[in-house]
Amino acid sequence: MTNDKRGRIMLPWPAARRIAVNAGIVIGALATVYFLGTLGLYNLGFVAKNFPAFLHGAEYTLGLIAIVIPIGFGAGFAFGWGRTSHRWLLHSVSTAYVEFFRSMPPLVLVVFAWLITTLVVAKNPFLSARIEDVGGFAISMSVVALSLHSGSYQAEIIRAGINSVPAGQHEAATAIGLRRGQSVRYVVLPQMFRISLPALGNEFASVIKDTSLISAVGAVDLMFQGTNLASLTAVSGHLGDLTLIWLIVAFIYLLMTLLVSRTLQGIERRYRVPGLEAAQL
Amino acid sequence: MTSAIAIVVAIIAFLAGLGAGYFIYSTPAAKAKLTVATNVPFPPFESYNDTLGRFVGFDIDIASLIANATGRQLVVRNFDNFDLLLTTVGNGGVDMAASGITMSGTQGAKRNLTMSFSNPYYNANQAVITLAGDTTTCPNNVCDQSELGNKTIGVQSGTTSEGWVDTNIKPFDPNNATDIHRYGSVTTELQELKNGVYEFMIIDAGPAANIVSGSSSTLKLLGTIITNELYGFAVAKGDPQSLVPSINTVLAQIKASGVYDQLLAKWFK
Repeated sequence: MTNDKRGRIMLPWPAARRIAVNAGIVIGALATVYFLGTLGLYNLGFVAKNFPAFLHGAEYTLGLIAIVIPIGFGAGFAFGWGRTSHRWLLHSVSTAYVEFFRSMPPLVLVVFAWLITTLVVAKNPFLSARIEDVGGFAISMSVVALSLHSGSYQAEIIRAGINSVPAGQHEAATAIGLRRGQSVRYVVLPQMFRISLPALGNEFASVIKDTSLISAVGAVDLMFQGTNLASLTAVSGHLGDLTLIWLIVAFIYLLMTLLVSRTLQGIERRYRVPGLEAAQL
Repeated sequence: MTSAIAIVVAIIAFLAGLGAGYFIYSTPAAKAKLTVATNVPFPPFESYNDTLGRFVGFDIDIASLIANATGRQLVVRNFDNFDLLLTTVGNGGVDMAASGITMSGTQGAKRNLTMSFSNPYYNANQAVITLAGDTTTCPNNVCDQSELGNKTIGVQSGTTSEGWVDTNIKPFDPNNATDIHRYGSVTTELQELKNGVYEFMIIDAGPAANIVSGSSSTLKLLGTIITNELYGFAVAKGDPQSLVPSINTVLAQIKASGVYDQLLAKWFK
């Protein structure tokens, strides 16, 4: 194995093989483009006409992401840390949280949160007199439920990160006179984050796509826009337009996911220490 | 360290206590919003307008007049599924439902047990849609069990279309050969009709005409099923917010002033 200047591992492939792979990708892409063309997919007028719909949807979905990721990460970090605690109360509360939210399909959680909120508010005259828009409030609760679902996965990632920092490091920090808090702040946390980042990126990408589930309880997000356009097209258009709608929706989700995962990869590169990658610890 | 944490916790608890106390003991203000539930697509009664980015339709226009009359701001909430909409409004999860809800007949009688209705605002029938190439005919464009029995039929679950099929087709079908496909949304129902999964789609006549005219001649209206259903706006059982009198006043006013006819002309071209 050889390494390049920045220490990345270079694959020992012959140049011919790499060229063949690249050519394969290009030919595959061209074939896909041609195939989609035969389906009548280049109806650009249709795309232009429905552009506002995708824009409204993307806006709403970005809003959802902006709520889900911080809440999920906050919960994940707090409960992940709780999982590694030696105090039984902290430990058992965190474990209960992780096991509960990890074991539920996200769609069930979303619908469940919506139903419970609506029922509780509607049946409680005190709350129903004070909460103006029960529907909107119930959707927010579904968003929180989805965040907590993601948080339970992130808790496990954080726990694994903390546990993978050898106990000797903490002991060494104590030996050179760092207090407990300092040792966590300067020794354990930086290493834990570096180890957890790839897995966290994975989870963020996954929860971005999961926000589409919120449309099941009445959010007018990208998924809803896709369904709604499809319903209008199911009446008048042809199958090509229908496919085009979902292609665009998929593409927008892809862009959002790429944006977040690329950002995280950037952070990952910024903080990496050659020779100390997660796999080698 | 520990005492600092204790002080922070004490301050947070104190502020939270103040907030909770304010929330509990302040008298609630009169509601400023009117939350209205609907189930799209059901044009021309309700649909989502992409360009405007909001819900529009005959029902929505009347709902916004009702909101104005009660001095509240209209908030439209879409439901994925008609059954869930009916349950939610019955339990007071939304203030009002405007979704082409039939309040008469057997289905209406059942619905009156779980929710309260305004005066009727629209008189509707059912209609049958098929693919343009279908050769079935209904005498005088009125369909009944003689044309629809022993066939494959698509309906949206929870609707009067489903109720009609269950009471008028199923019991008179000796071989139990009628195949009823029930869908949560009109979208799926339409796609499956176009895919040839079933033959006859039964839906309220208003949306049926709208669907067929927008289908660029791929679908046709086979005929109507005379059911004489009355549409009403639904509120929670017992009308805890006393909305029904206001709704009825608005309905009477717009019928007297001609606004109702203008809305009919606007949405049913």
